[in-house]
Amino acid sequence: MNTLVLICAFIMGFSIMTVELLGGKILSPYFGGSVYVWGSIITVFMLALSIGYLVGGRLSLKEPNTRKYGVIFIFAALTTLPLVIWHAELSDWVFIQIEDPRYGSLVTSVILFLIPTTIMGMVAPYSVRLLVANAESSGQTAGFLYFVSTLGSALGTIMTSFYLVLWFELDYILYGVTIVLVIVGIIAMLFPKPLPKAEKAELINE
Amino acid sequence: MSKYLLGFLAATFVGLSLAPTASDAEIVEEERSLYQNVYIMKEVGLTCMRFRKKSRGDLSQSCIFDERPKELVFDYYKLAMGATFFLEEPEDMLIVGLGGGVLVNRYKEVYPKANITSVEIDGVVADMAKKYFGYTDDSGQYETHVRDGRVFVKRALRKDKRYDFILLDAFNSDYIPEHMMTKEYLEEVKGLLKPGGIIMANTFSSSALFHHESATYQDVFGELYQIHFKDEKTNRVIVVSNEKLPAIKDLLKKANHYKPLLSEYGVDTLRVYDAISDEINWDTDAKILTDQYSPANLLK
Repeated sequence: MNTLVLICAFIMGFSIMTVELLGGKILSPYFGGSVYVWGSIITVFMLALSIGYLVGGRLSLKEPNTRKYGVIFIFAALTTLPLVIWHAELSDWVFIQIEDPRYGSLVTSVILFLIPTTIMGMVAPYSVRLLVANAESSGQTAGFLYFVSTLGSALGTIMTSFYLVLWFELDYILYGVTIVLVIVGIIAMLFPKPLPKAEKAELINE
Repeated sequence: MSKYLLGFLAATFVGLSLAPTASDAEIVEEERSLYQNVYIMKEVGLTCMRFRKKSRGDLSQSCIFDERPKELVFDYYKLAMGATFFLEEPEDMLIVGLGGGVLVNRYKEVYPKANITSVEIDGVVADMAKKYFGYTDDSGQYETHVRDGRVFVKRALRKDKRYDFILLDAFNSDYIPEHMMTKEYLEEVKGLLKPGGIIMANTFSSSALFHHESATYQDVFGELYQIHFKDEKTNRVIVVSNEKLPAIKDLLKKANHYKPLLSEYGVDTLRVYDAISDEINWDTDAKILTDQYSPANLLK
C-alpha cells in the first residue's frame, strides 16, 4: 500500500508542475512573457503550497486514512476545473481592471491557481502521515516521499515543456491533469490502508 | 523556468540574419537587461546590436554601416522597405519590436508627416537605439513604449487606436516570442488596422515553423503576399491586410516612384518588387498556431 501512496505523490508532483508551467502560457497573451509574469506564478504557487503543507499536516492529525487522502485528489481536480474552463475570461477581466502587467498577472495567478495549488500541496504531508511507521524512521520516510514527489515534479516540468505542449492543446493537457487526479483519487479511496502496526499500538496505548 | 530558457534548450539555433564573421569584433558596450545581455559591437565597418556575445551563426538584431548610416545592411530591412509599395501617405504607423530603430528611422524619412509609435519590451534596447543607432522620439510625432508587444496591442485595442501600417518585428534571441505568433494575436493586430491598412511581418522562411506560421496568417487574413529574395534563404516578409491586397502588378508604379529615394538606402525597389509573391508555397494543412497550441520554438 505504501507503493500506492508513493505513486499518488509522484503523480501529484507531476501535476503541480504541469499546471504551473502552463500558467505561463495562460497569462502571456494578457500580461506578456516577462520575468514578472513568471514571478507572479511562482510566488502564488509557493504561497499556495506552503498553505497546503500547513493544512494537509493539520488534516493528517485526525484519523488519517486513504479514503480522505483520495478525497484530497478529487478536490484538487474539482478546483482545477474552473481554471481550465474560465482562464481566458478571468484573465481578460483582470486585464481590463488592472493596467500594470505585474499586478495584473499576480492577481490573475491568485484567482486561477491559489485554491487548486493549496489543495495539491496538502497531499505531501498527508502522504508522510500515511507512510510513517514510527518516529525513528519518520525522517527517512519523509525524505523518500519528497524524493519521489519532487522527481514527479521534475518529470512533469520536462514532459510538459518539451512534449505535451507539442502534442496537445493547452486546455486538453489541463483536462488530462484533472481526469488523472480524479482517477488517482478514486483508486486511493478504493484501497483503504490499514495504519502501520506500531502506530496502532501507540493509538491504543493513548 | 522562463520560456526563453526553454527555447534555448529546445530550439535549434537559427541566426536572425547573416552577420559578418566577427573575428575582429569589439564590444563597445554591454548591459544586462531584464531579458538578455545587450551587446553593442563594432566590426568591419559596422555597428551592431546583439543579444549573444558569440558570433558564430549569430544573430545581429540591428546593424548599421558606420560610414553610410542610411544604407541598409540586412536584406530583411530592404524587404521591409517594400511596405512603401502598399502605403498611401500613412498617418499612423505602429512598430512592434523597435530593436535598433533602423527601420523606423527610414520610415520617418520616407513619411515625414506620419505619427510613428514604437513598442519595445526591453528598455535597454530602446536606450541603445537612441545612443548608437540615431533613433529619436523627441517630437510629439513619435512615441516609444517599453512593454510587451502583445500587451500593448491589447491595450491599444481597448483605447480604440487604429493604424494605417503595422510592422511586426518582435524578436527575442531565438525567434518571435510564442505568444506573438498565434491566431488570437494576429486577430488583435488586425483589429488595430484602419480600413485597408497593411500589416507587415518579419519572419524566417527556413524552418518547420514556416508552414504553421504561413497557415496561421492565411487563416486570419485569407490572403498574404510574401516578399523574399530568391537567392537568399532565411528572411521573408509577410504582407497582409484587412481588405483585399492590391494586385502585384499595380504595385510596380510605386516601386518605380520610390526607386530614387530608396536607392539612397541601398534598396533596389525593382528587385524588391520582383521578390513579391502570392504563391502558396506552404503546407496548407499545417496546424495553425493558437494561444492553445503555440509550441513555436519547439517546431522550429
